[in-house]
Amino acid sequence: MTGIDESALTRRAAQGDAEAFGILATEYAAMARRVAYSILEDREDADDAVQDGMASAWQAIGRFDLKRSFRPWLMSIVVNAARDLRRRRRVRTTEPLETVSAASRDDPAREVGAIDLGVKIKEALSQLPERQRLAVVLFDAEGYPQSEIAAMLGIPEGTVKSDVFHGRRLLRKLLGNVREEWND
Amino acid sequence: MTDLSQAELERDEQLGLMLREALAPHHEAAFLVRLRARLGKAQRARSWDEELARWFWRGLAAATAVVIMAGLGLTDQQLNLPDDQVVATEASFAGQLLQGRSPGVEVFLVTMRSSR
Repeated sequence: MTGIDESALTRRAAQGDAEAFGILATEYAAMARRVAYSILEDREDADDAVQDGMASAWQAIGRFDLKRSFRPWLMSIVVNAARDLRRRRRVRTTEPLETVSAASRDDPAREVGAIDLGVKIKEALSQLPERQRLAVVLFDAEGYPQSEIAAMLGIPEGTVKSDVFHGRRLLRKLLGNVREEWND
Repeated sequence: MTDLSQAELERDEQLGLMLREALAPHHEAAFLVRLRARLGKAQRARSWDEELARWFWRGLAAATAVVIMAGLGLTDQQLNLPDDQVVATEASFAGQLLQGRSPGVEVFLVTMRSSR
């Protein structure tokens, strides 16, 4: 899937090799940003959460069980960092997050077709409850098996299956003919 | 009840691609520079934490050794007294109590030792 030797790099990182951890962080940065965005629905907040999560992971890597897979471990830390940041933002902000369309804050060039399509998808995604949104993104967009998603989010595998099912159903309904537009 | 068909248990490649593109992060190079800088800071914090943790255990071991040695020294000094002095101290401990005063810890230790 990727061009890096994850287990060798993880072993080196666990021994304190900053360069090895840097390579792993770079490799999974884009995925982590997408996952954090699907929780926070704001690009800057998502980037902050990814940085917090990666820094926490680096500080905890010495305790990482090398028998486990690194990627879901890292993503679970990023998910927690994003949720943590959202809680802090909720305390600080007086305006509920739902009243501001995430897409409208992020992409000023909405008139461009491709971006418009992206905006429609993001708006549809923001209608889903957070857990369903995360389950669909992790399963369909990032390719995690449902068992790993369950471990990552700390919920039963059956719940993940159900979240993917309901999330997709709502997403398909909301997206309507966007799929056809996408194919054109 | 939710009926999960086999298709629902498999990845929807097209939906996945659409989501990945819609959620694609911007300014990747700039973000990676910021991330590396942040990890560098975390590295320095980590080094300090580890150094402090190492010193903590060494300090704790040294402090324990000092306390034990001081305790042994005190015991030797206070308890290796000639018998007549012990009796005198015991008497003075009882005497002090009877006089309504509070005898010091060294007097108490000597009395304890002579009772054994």
